[in-house]
Amino acid sequence: MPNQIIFKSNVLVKLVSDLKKNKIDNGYFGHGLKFDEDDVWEVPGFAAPETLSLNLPDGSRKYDYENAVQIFEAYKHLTWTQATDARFWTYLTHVTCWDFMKKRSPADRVEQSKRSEYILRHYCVIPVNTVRLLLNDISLLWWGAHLTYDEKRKDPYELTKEAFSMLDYTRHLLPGIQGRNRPFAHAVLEYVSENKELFAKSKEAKVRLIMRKCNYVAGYRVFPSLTKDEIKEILTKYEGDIAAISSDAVVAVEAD
Amino acid sequence: MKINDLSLPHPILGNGSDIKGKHSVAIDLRMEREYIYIDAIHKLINKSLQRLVKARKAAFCTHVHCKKTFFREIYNGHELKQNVVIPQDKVRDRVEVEFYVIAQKNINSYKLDGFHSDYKGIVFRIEKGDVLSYGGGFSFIADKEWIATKGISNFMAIQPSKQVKGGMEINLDDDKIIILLPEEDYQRYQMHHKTPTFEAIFHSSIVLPALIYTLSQMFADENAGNLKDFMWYQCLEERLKNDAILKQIPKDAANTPAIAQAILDNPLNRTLMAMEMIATDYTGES
Repeated sequence: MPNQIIFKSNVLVKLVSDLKKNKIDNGYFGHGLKFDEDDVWEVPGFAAPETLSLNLPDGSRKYDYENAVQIFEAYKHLTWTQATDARFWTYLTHVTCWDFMKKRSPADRVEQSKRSEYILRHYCVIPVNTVRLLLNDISLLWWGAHLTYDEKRKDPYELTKEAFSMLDYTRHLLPGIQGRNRPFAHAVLEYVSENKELFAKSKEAKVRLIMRKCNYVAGYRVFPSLTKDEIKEILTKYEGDIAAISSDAVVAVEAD
Repeated sequence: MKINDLSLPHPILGNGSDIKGKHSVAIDLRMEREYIYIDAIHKLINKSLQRLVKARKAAFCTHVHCKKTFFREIYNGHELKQNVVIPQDKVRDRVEVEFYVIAQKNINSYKLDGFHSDYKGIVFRIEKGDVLSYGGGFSFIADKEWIATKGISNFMAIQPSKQVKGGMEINLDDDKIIILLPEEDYQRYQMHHKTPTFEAIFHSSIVLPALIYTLSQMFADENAGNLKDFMWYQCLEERLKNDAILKQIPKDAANTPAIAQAILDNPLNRTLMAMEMIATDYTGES
């Protein structure tokens, strides 16, 4: 297998600095930015897949779940610290997965004044933190699959499918402090997918309610000390409140 | 999660005057190539809580989380001494650690010796995982280079810019503070930066202004929090918090020159001494 290529730090610094000054390279609107061999380096011991070809978005279909499985399978061996390397993810968005990025998050989708921030958000990881890792279009796919993968299931990607069914999961559940604990994230995803009728309508509002209730309890209870099933038991107590939601309006949480 | 003046559903030792007693933790932190070792010794002064831990209805809990890598784990035990081992490749930069006593079973009639008199006659219902005591916390930077040398070069780098001539630029949008020198100046810097006599001169002319600028941005950003996730910010914050000399200097924009000079160990004095040496060698006088 070939060694993975990543950007050098100074290339990243210049890229981000230009974007922050609103200097947007025309390459973002066409065939991509130009880089030469001095801008990158090959990382010994960091294996790259022979090929990586993502499903191109088609209208409103983004194929996030399918692409998450592909990326995760291609880079299953990543250590957590490799997977938080901004140079690696920025290389994938700007070079390896350029055709996919142009379709998924074209830079001219937003008005000119917001383009720099849009590119920084979808194409870079700056600064590196859990929120930004789930905003970059490629690291979102890998981390989304990594955090929801469960080899004990018949389909180890069952929860990955649920996680990519709704934006709230990757924007609020997974990057949040509670969601960083795998049993908690799995408990929420499992609870929702096992109760299809309960979540058939107003799913976003209901999942947000669960998150707010859990954040309240997390002020005095250490969720990582509970098993996934014990967390699901807590969620079951909110069934009445969940069923009572009839619209996607923001719901205030009352203390129990 | 920190327990800080929150309105909680049951009394917690370490939260204001809820309960008489004390919970504190002595820590020894050791970082090696593959693992990070936290040796914690809990000191728990409250007999009822001690009994709960001994009966395994409660446990000492060390809670470790890293904002950059999604790492969040707890380590429970029933002895006063806890040894926690964290794989290095699961964490990066700032790692937060908190210490608790948590319930390991539901307790229907929770009552402790030492409850504040406001709670007289009241019992509480505790569920598994509930915090019963807060022993404080600390944070550290999981970066081997930083720990090994604590040198400025671990969070600052000098690189060439794309300009041939011109001024120096300072970029804070990276895990290191990047000082960009125009190509001509960078070549000269490369030729001389390993010369021992010139080290202080480089510190005064390049590093010092960059550090003053960085500190001013750090203090200006305090509430916005836009820079806090960068490693240079976390390293500087740790230094400002833990260094005996830096702790005594007020942390505000007016004191950035004083702080920067303290971090660099008075570079102007060292520069002038170096220049004196160079001048002496040049004139042949002693």
